[in-house]
Amino acid sequence: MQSLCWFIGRHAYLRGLVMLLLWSILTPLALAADLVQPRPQPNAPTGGTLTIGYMREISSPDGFQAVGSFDRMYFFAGNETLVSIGKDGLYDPAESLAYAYEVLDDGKRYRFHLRKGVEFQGGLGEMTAADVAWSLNRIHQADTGSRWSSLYRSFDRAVEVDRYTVDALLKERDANLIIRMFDRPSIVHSRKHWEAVGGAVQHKIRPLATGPYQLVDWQVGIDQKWMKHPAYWRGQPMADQVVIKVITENRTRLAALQTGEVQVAWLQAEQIPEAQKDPNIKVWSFGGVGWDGWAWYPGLAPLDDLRLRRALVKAVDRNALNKAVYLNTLMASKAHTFPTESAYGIDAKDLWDGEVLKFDPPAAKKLVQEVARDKGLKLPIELQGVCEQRPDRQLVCEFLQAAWAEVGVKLHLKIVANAAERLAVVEQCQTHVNQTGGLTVAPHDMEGILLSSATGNISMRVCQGKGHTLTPNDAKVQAELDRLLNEAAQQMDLPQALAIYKKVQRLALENLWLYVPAMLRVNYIGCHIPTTGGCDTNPIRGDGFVRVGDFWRKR
Amino acid sequence: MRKYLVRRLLNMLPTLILVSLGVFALVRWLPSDPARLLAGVDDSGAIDPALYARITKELGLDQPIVVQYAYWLGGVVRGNWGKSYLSGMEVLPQIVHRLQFTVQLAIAAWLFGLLLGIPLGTISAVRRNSPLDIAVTAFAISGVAIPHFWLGMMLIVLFAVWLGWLPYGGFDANLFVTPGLWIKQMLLPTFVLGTGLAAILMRQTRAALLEVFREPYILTARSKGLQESRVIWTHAMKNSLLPVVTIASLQFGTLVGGTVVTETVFTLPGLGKFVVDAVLRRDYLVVQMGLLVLTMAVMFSNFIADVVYTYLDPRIRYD
Repeated sequence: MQSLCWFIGRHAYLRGLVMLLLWSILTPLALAADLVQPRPQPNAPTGGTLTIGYMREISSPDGFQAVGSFDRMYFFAGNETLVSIGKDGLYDPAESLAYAYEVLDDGKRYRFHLRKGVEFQGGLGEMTAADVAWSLNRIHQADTGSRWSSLYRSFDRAVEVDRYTVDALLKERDANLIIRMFDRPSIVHSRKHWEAVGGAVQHKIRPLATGPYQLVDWQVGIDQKWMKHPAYWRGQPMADQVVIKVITENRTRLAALQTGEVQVAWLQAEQIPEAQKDPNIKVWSFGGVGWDGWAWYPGLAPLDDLRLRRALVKAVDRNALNKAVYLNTLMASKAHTFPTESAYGIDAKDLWDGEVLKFDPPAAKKLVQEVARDKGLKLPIELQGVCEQRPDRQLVCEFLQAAWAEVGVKLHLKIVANAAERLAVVEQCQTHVNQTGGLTVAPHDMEGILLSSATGNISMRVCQGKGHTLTPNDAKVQAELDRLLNEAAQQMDLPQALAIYKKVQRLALENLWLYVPAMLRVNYIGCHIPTTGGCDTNPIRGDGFVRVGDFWRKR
Repeated sequence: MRKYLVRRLLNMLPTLILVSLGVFALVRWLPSDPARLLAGVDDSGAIDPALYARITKELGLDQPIVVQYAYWLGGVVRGNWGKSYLSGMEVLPQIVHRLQFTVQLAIAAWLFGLLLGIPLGTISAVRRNSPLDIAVTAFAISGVAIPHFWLGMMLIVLFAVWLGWLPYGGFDANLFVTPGLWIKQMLLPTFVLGTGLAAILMRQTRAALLEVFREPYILTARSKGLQESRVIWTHAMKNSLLPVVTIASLQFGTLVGGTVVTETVFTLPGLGKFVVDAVLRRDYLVVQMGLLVLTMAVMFSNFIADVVYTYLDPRIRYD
């Protein structure tokens, strides 16, 4: 009996062993089928120093803690996100630290499959699920320098499943999680290094991540130096060194590009005609990455009257604005926040060219007079505005001031030094108009302004009970926007989500709700062709910015 | 003399304390605050109030203003200049790094101004009302009138973009290690910054010399049959140099504190630009320390002017 049992046991054991062997051979093969191979570097390493001309102060080489949207121009030299955005604006697994993801538990769990062999800079070892989970969990921890908590309301926590698998657990379904992760909150850092340097403050100065270049020096206001990361997972970086040079003066930055001392530079719109004349410079553009216009607060009278809001839009000749202020380098929006051509964009030509919003000063004047008569207001109707002390912004403000004066509205402007001060003024609840702009790259950016709980919704979030009151009709508009946006955020089916986002934009535009994205921004990048590789096709990604790692020095 | 110097140096202390108070108060009178900037406006144009409150506390900005001042001044005296609110880096090494460059640029521009201004002023005075005098005077007026910003930009386009002889700007050279590169990188900024000084010195030298030429002892020297060059260099120049030296010394302080436009145009790592950037970012500690250091530079150059003045004019005694 014992021998039989032994035989049966041995048989089962052998069978188990065979199964195990088969599993161990087949499983990697099966996984390998799903594994998206890393995209190789576009060129063999050529060495040398690649110099990038950046136009303003660098906030931090640690992408997680960098504050401005333009900072993407440089921090992707060393930092990488869990999921990357491609040139088409979609998830690009070949350049992502997660080569695939699954949506589980009815959209409340996202499972990320990590690449093997992704090495951290500085010899910190391989990136594992523990690093990824820890990195994502910083989002809701204030002492990590995170400013992303409100953007990730649905995100609960990340947990390590195994060495190469991470689960992101959500409080509620979020159809936009992957799009949110294209930006810096999903940058993966080494916990070991973070703790070794003592936390966020020091990591902000000397971060280590997984990208192609490792920061070696940062002189505030002067430059950053990054050396190649020899164990980079996509192969040897093409340059030996990258220097991000801060050249705040626009003409000087163009001169640096013209002389070839800088290979790639961000160009200001007014420099474009000059740059395009230079045969050594190739200019690439990306339209619709953001919008420029103004925000206003329907809760503050007399802007609580939709007729006045419409009058003010109808008083502005956007083509003239484009020509006078932006030298025709922007585009008058034909939609709402997104360009019409974008999957999320709407065709609102009927509104912009029709009775509702068309440039028509006499009609605008009539509307203003109607509002003044009905509300017992004196003409000109007086509005308070705030404007940043920046040449383009001030010009826009003066343009609005002049255009509105023509139709009987006097705009008093308070000039402030920066966006933070602008916001401080707005939060005092006495300002009607706030000259501003924003991004259009992701649908969830709409939530940040239009939702009643959104930080950008000043009338609802800050000024309710402080002089701002929505009319019953406007309250209905807000309620409907809230409903639609919440529904869209949970809609996993893309076509259906798109339809809802289009409804949101139509409703917001018809009611000129909170912000008027009159112009679509265009980003410009210049390459010095004789010394620079990577500029034959448009190098700008779907977020409107370039990646340092895409360029190389020509020999 | 030594007593005078010591007294003069000690007199600087109350001035410095007053300046520190002024700088501290001025910086805080600026609208907004660094906590707002650090909290960062998100893509929707808003700031997280909880984060803002936390940063305010961390930076000590919730403390009474007197406490903040005392804490800051105590740190300055102890050599702890604090950390930049925005970058988190130590302020002291950053200021020292930039001051090194600014002093190099100021010295170069100052020497350029002296070497160009005094000889031109002399020629102009000696050849008074000649075409040469008119040309030199025109240069002087241009030197004062042309904005540094415009001149710098034109020089960049001409020498860097069109001719390709010089770099557009930037600075990473060392005078002793890479002197050739140092000269190349310093040439245009020195010219731009030094031209204004040269113009001032030229006009001052010319006026002073013309005044001295009218003195009886110059007439005596000439009537003795001395060579004109000796009359100018030995007799006239020494006496006419007094106001020139005073102005040149005082101008050194102005140069150290007035390099910001040149530094911006040529993308130079100087203290002026550093402080202006810090003002825009409301980086209080950097602004306070930068302004204090610049004030000290001006005070020190005034002090040197006094010393040189005493040396040149033995009639002046400080008891």
